[in-house]
Amino acid sequence: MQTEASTADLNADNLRRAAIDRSLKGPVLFLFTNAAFWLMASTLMGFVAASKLVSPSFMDWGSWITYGRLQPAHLCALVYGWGIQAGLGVALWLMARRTAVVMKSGQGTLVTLGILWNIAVTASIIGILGGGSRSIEWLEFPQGIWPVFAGIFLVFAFKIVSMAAKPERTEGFLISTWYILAACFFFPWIFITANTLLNNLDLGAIGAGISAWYVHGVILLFFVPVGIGSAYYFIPKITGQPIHSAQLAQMGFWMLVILGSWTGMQRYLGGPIPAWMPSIGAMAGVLLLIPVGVVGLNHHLTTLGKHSQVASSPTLRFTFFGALFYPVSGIILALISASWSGSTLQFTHAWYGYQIVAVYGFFSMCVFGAIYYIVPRLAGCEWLSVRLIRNHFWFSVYGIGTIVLASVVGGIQHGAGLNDAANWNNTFWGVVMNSRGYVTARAVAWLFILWSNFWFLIHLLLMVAGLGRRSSAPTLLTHDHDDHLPVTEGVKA
Amino acid sequence: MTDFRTFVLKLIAAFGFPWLLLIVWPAISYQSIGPIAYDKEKGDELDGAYFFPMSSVNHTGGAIYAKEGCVQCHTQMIRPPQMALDGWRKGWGQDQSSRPAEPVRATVLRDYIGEKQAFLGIARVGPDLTNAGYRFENSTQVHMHLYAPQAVNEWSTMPSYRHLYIVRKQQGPDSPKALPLAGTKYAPKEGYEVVPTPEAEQLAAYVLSLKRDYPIPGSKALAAAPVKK
Repeated sequence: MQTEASTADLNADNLRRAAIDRSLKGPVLFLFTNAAFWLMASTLMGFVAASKLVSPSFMDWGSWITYGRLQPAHLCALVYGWGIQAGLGVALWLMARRTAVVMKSGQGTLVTLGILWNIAVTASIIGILGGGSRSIEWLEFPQGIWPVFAGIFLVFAFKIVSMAAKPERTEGFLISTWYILAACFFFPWIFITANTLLNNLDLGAIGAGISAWYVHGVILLFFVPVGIGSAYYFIPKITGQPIHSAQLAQMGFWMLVILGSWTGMQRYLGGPIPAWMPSIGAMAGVLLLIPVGVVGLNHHLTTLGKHSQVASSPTLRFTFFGALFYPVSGIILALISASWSGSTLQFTHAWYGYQIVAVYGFFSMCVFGAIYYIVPRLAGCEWLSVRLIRNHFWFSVYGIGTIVLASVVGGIQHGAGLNDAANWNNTFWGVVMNSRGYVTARAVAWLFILWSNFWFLIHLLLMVAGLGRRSSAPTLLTHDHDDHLPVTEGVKA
Repeated sequence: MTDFRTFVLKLIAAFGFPWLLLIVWPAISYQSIGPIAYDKEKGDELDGAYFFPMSSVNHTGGAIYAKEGCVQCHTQMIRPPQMALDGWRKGWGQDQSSRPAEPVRATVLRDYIGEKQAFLGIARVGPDLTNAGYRFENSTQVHMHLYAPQAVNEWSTMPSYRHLYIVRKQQGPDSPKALPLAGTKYAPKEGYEVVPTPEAEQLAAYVLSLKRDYPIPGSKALAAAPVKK
């Protein structure tokens, strides 16, 4: 984007970047570190919950650890503890860099709010495990907590949006800004709507529809925008190529916004809500393949010819694979949504597969990519070990791949078993036995991910503590040894 | 910053329209949902109006159903026969025989009136509970399922809800509430008995109150089905 900048301009740019990074260091590192802790917690709970689906007597230590409480706690930690927290960190940093705004004050407030957010997540998990769950999907936490989440998010969103409203720099194509802004607008809107309606009104089956819309809304209008926004920022930055097509980027954005807001109620296709509501959700869920394809194509064309950097840059590698999981999540959503396949996949493990591929496979991989880029700049040191990064990457990719594959294939078998006319007067024995293998695979995969996250957390903590490598060269994945790494242009911008 | 303002307005328009139409409007109009009258001319054999008496659902028990997260594995929604075989599955309706004459009817909006949020469910790791009130003959059967699921079906992956039960020293004659666990490996020690807590009683009452097949006005076949309240 800065083609013919003079040395003086470059220096000024670098100084400004350093000033931005300094101004964000506290809040962003705080969010990342705590998010990584919750990710560990969620992974651990995911492993135990999956194991309990195989053998209910596994870790049978009391009411708080039964599957019905553990599973929502696992997803609550993943969504509010890790996802939204890390997403806010990335959004804050990306927006500051895009708009070149140095945050002058408010770091202390943001950290305080971050602490409050983590207290709220802790209270949610304890509430769910302790028997305060309300069984509203992704909103299981005790009722009193939601205004805390909403309030804190709004302050962060306000900070981010006000940067975009008064940018110091406006040149360049602003697609990642768009995505971040959309995430900042939509999450509070969806969250407050769902909580206000579900807490205050008797909604019967409509309430179930709204809660399904909420889950899809958070995925499609918060996690997806932050993930794509980050990918649109880092892919061009690291490959050094501009985004291939601005038209495709705009089209992908607006179609996501328009279709994403209609999606969700297809979860109860054939259910007791007015038929047009799930039908329109099903239609939107399938049509979302278009923006998914458009964004995928654009990312692919931007990366074209620079694939060697996927191998060398940790940021690009994570982002690239995260971006690959986006089309995968779109296809799974379309399969769950379309009525011909949805009638089989409804109420099966495939739904879990979709949540994980969207929140973990796509969003989290993009966020990991962002973290590998952002943290060295904030902490002032470089990642310690190539081996730890590789370890994180491969165990994550294999783990998520296994969960998604097992959930979707297992879901097809699960659904086929439920709908098989030959089973009409059978017990659930067959369904339970058939899904056993897939659920075991899920449990093992969570163990893989646990391993990868453990080292990611340690690595991150060392970085935050300032114990990283003191070097001007970024840690790249080309050599096994950390010494004499080649400096690739564009990586440390 | 007109660019910024236009962009925000576009976002609000793009999201606000579905938000109003799909969420706010249905939520508000649901508040004034009313009964539908049975119509003899359309072949209904019943008098009065269809307004499923969901007040009969035990809401106290429903809250326990929610906090234990039963929705993670049990749905409460019957899909129509053209979409899935839900209605034909054994034990999912009123007729518990292995060859019901009619499929169980699909659930409709009015079946859930009075519930704050219908527990339509997340996955079917276990069977659907829309009409579970017909499947269990009495609360003892429900308690057995809750206390020792594997005593009922050895292969079951349902967790035991032991924390809703008290194991206490037997005093005098057998308590009528004590679970008939004798002979299973879940039986308490000699001289002890397992009795439900009030929470377990409520949960069982909730499960037994789940009957959502009240005939819908205007559908002859279904109106002919036996009615139980």
